[in-house]
Amino acid sequence: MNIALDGATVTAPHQATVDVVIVGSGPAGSAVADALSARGLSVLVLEDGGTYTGADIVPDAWTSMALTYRGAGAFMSRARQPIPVVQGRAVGGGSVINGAISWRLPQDVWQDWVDADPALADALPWEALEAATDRVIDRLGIAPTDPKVAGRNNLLLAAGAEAVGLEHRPISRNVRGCVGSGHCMQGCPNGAKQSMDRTLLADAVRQGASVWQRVKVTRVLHTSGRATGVEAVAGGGGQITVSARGGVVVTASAVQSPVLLWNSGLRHGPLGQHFQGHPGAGVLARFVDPVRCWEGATQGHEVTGLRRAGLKFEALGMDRGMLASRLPGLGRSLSAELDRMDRYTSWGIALKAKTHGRVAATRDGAGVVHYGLTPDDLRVLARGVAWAGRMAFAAGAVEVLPGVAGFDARVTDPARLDALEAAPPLDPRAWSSVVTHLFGTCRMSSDPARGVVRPDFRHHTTDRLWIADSSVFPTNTGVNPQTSILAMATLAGRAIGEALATTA
Amino acid sequence: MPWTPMEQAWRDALLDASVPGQPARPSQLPAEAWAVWESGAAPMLRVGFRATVWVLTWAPVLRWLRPFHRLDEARRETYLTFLATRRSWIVRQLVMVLRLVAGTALGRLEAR
Repeated sequence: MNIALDGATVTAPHQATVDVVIVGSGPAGSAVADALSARGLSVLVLEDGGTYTGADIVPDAWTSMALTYRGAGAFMSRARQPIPVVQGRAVGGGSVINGAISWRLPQDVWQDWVDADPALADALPWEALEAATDRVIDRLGIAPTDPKVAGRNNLLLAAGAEAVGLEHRPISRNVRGCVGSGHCMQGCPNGAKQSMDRTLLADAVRQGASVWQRVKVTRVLHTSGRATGVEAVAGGGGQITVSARGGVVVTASAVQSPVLLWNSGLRHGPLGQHFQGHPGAGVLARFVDPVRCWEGATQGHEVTGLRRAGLKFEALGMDRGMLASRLPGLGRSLSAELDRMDRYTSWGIALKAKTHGRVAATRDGAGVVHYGLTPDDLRVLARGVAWAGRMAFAAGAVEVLPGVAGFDARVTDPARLDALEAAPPLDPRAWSSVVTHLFGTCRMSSDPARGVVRPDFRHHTTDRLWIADSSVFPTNTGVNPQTSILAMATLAGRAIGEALATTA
Repeated sequence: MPWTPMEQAWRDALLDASVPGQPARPSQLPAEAWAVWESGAAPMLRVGFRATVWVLTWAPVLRWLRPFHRLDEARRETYLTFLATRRSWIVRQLVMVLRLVAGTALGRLEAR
């Protein structure tokens, strides 16, 4: 995909004028860019990160995380137990380094949104969301994981779920020609993952859109209640000013979008509030025979039987370096574990947490996330760890490593999992988790007091300003949101296009 | 602020002792790998790792009157085993950071 400008080379002031400027090149920004460029509008997409594809991709977590994850995966929340907030930082956003997992927005989640704000039913009709999702599925080649590339880490999860009677299925993923190289989280070395830089963003570029990389937007420009462009800093230090005749679309993520608005003086509504996510924990289990969890589809199988209880389980194949960092012991004891590292499965538990946090701007203009897990969420997470352990034993594991401080480091008797579920440690410091899938900080609502954007993605108080990423989702979804984000942003792109056509 | 040669020696001693007997040693990481890591890592991780190296290097003085890099192999192992079995939150965080860096360093060396 052609990058029109690399900010790293920009050392002097630089200006441009376009119809629409889009902040962020992740799934939301790409879908909006695709929709608007298809209408013949001049579209410029600005991305903080760089291109990471083809020869740039290296199959080790050390390098890839430093290059493509915000803070190398260690952008931490502020809480009693800080939690890494995982975000991609590359052209294509998180789609470059995620597990390619695809879920339709569950209808029960949509219904919760509509029950809370009936106006959403007209603005986001279920049928329109489904139609947009169908288009995304077709474009990204989303299909269930082929068992031939699943690998043993996925197949054992399937066997365990089947044995304990939990609903499960191969994960539907946006890949074409996946060979199961096990490097989704480092960027696909074979180009099989249909990330945005290979699909919707590339489509937008073919339709005339431009992408500038390594350009960090610092402010949305606005006069007389109307957005007129953005100011940015290039990686090379040059100041960039973009004037946008039609308006500005912010799709910088549930962390960066509210911070950008705050720093721009656009502080209407519950900006930065209602931050939600899907905290996740990992469970390792040791088997007698080799598993080699770093081979096969990184995330090829999921257990959905407890979704309504707020839990989802996924196989989570890991780069050997990352797996090594999660094994117990230190010194000779850790080395002994490394020698049998190929015996471990690695499965993740994603939680539809009820916790609400907040995002705030710091004095230097950066963002900070205040977010920690409550005892209620920890009880559900403990249930998830216990069920992951039960599935592992049912699949033939000889021991399970729950990863919960203050509880057995190694469980060999499945009955101990009942004890964990019945009386889990409720101190968040006992738990190791990460939070992915971020929502809610520019919430959509028809009520200006309860939302930052209207149901048609327009900012409540600033004309020609739209927000179209997962920050507008009224709640978390309990499932992997990339496809929902794409469907929602497709509707946003349509609404923006119609608004601009009406006022042209 | 760049690491001093002395700090690098402390760091390498801790990392190598964390995963002894492996085909590769974290101390074999080239300087450019550390530069990539430093440029990408969140400030909390960068500062946290450096603090980890300082604390874990000098804590053995309380028991053996010597910093970690001056301990013999048996005492290093005793010390690391002690750390790995502590329930204290702060010690667990230090160990986690050390293990994370040592593990991903091995992964990086193995992949090249």
